[in-house]
Amino acid sequence: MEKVLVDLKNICQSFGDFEVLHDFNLQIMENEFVTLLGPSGCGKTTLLRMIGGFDSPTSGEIYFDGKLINDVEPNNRPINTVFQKYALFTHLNVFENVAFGLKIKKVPKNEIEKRVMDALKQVHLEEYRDRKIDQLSGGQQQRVAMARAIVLKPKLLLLDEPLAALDRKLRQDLRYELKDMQRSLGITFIYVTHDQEEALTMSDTVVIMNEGRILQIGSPEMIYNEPETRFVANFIGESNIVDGQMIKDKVCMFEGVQFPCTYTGFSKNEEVDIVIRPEDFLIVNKNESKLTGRIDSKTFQGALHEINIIDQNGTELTVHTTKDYPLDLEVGLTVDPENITVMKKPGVNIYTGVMEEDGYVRISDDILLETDSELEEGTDVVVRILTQDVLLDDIDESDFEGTIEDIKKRDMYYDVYIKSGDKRIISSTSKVHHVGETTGIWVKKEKVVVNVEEDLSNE
Amino acid sequence: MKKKSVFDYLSIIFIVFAFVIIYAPIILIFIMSFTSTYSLSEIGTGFTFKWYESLFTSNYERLSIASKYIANIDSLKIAILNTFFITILSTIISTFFGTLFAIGIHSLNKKKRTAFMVLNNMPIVNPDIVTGFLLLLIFVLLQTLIGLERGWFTVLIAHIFFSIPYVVLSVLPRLNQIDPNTYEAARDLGCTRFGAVFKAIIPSITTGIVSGAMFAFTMSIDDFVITMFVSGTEFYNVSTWIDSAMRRGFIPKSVYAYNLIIFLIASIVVQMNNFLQTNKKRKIEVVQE
Repeated sequence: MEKVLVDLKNICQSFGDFEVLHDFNLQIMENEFVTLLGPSGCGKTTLLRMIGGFDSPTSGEIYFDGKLINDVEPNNRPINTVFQKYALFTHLNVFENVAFGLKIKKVPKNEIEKRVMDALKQVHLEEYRDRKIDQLSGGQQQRVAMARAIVLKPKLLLLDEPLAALDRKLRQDLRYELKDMQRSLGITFIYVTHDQEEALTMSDTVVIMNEGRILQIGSPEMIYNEPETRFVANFIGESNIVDGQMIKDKVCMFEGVQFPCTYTGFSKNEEVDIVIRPEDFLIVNKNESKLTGRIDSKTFQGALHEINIIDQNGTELTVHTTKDYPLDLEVGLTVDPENITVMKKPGVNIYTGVMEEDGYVRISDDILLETDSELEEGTDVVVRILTQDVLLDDIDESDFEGTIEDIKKRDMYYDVYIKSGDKRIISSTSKVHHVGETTGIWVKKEKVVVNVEEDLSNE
Repeated sequence: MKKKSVFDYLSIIFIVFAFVIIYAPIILIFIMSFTSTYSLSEIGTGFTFKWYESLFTSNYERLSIASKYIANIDSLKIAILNTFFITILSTIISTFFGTLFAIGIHSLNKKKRTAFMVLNNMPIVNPDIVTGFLLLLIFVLLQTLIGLERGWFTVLIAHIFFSIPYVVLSVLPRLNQIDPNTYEAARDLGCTRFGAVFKAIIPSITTGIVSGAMFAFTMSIDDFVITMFVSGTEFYNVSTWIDSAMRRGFIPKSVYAYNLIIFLIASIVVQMNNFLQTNKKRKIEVVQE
């Protein structure tokens, strides 16, 4: 029943050495409202430009309606785009702008008139047909850009942050209009934004991207309620993310307190990340919960109060409530089991080391890593490196080398166990390696997390 | 009332002085072009329009112009026609190519764009005497290679050559102002590569193209040095003609008439341009309010 309209297969794109998209796969259904959401520089606009035909991928295939369209010129694609700053033609008036595409397609004159007026009616601009573009407000220009695109009846409409240049109130109104328009026209929309609110209110499907990869795909509800990674949890709305443990199935522990939850299938005492939305914490009497804290600060935000609570371990938790509480009050916090999200921790390599001069940290006789830390020379430190940040490369290009001892297959990647001198390091990678191979190993300096040794006892 | 200091008087004197320096020659030409004597130094012996008429008629007897000047006036008229022929043609051609070059340069990445701008600006910063001499060398070479005679064609080529950089310079800023996605928007709406340039980009940079054309026009119409080098022995524009007439010792006062006409046209164009610019600015301000 549901038909795949756009199919992106193994798309890679790099500009020089910089990899913008990394082996990107995505299917978009007919009549879907898909939002590509991510911070700037995550590759979402590049992806949109490829679908529109303005860039071509370094490798990979783009299928539209079952046909490979990699080499089809943009003017021959049944796809239209609403650009970020609208790119209206300032030498033409509103009517002529909307009629531009129809004239190029040599549509008969009386039909142009009818279709342009229909499109202008859709965006409530019939009365502005003879206006010059520079006599319109930002919101009106945005509507002209919409009309100019939909008048051609494309199968797919690409929108590149079309609301970014507008003020907040207008943005909110236009969101509903866009969604209505998508429903009534029956056109597939691919919408690019970095505004998570926009993504959640309009989309059928949200694709969260970072650094050229998909982090999570799902309905807005799913993305919000069950973020799979720390990044998603942080990016979509505010979150409290704390370290925790799964004591057993359906019981987790964080801040030294056990809570019932809905998750199963973790190993016993597995270290996890726990995500709780600020609005899911309930403030109760101090003696009604084992998790207690003191109200440290609060801000009034109109519909709600944002309260920062320092709990018994000194961790700061953010709570949204509709009720006001006095400062410095000791309170208890509870949370419903279904509102606790448990995330698998990414693998981490932990070492002890010593700071050396010029921002280097020594882990062993052979291993010296560059780091952003500005700790003093000679400080004893704990070094943490996520397994996904350990990169394997040619020996010449690397910080140090090691021999692969073991490889374990995970869902989407491999954990590669490497021995280097007397140290072992784990790297999570999607590339295939072989046991016994010697490989170069390097870590970007911002990924080398260094803490003073005393801090460890706290965690 | 505040007492005027010596600097206030000085500044007034300075302004008056500046105006006199700039406008006295024009006023002088204005007066001379209406006096009927032949001598360039005599002023105020009888009012006449004959120098103006002489530019548009061949019936010199009715104007009672001395016969020794008639040949000169005829050759001046040819020089004027030459000037307009070269100027109009070189303006059209250099505006066309300059606009396309500007669009091409604009679409390059920053590094290449800077490199091309250096290449573009080279002829502008080069003294005319160097440009003229270099072009002469090239044309001499071409003469021996393919038998190209120096004349109107070499002058036209030279004028196109030195006008294009000015067109590029006036079109580029306008290109920077228009929406960076204009070309892509046109492609998106169904234009071919060329269609997008001619239907979307060029119409939105017309102001830049017009000012570029005006630049090219003025550069070409008053060029002396480069034309001097590349025109050969037979071909004159007004500037080179005046130069050679001065050597021979006669200049008919028709030259004054011509100069004044050009001056008036230029002032009208400048005034109109000013008027259009301020009008446009006012309009934009109204919209922004």
